[in-house]
Amino acid sequence: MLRPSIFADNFVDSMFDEFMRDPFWPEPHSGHGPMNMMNTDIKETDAAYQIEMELPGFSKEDVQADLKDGYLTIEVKRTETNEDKGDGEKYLRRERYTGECRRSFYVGEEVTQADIQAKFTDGVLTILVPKKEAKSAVEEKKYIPIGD
Amino acid sequence: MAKRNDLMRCDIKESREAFTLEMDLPGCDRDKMQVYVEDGYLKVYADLRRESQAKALRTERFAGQCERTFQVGDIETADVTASYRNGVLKLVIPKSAYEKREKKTTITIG
Repeated sequence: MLRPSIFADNFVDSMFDEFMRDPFWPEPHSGHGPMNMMNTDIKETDAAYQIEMELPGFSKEDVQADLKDGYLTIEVKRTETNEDKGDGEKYLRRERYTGECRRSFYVGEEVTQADIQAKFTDGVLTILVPKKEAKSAVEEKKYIPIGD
Repeated sequence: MAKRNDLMRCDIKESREAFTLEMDLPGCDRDKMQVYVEDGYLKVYADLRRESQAKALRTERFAGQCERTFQVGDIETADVTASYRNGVLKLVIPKSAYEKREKKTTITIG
């Protein structure tokens, strides 16, 4: 039986829900509210859940995804520093975010790191999390051979 | 409903040789982006509409059309070079494009 509410409306810790909607408490590292980073689409097919996260301007080396205790966490940091002022270069306007961010999703404890596939194309990280059935607690029947 | 201010976010840099614009446009097909200069305005248009067979549980990504305009003065579309990498559209306008225009032709009066 599938574990319920893996990707229901409250898949992110509900503790943060009220913070996300209140403009005075921007969630520091998620794609909600005024910051609007790591915007994510979650889709479902028969076999898997598909997570598509927007991470423009990062390269594959900047992105790290790990799985621990049923939580899939995606963390991005800038590894290349392009602050070279060699050519007398200066910023006239700066809108893009240039820091670190992190976001977690609960995927359940049955999924292992080897099951999850990820690829990063055109600034979009696509992660496929296969659907796994929870291990049945009831053992299967084992037949006892009857001798003569 | 909160206004969405995360579309086409752009950094603008100036060096001795050129102006550089770097714009966030993640997940866009190259043939669905248009960059052109018209009447002194640089326009960037992107069509981010996507089809998907899968059932959507949560949608945060923008999936429509968007356009942004920058005032750039008297240059032409051919002066601008564009590249798209890691979801960032980079536009470079060399300052030499402006220097071309400054050579005024004068009319000799006979």
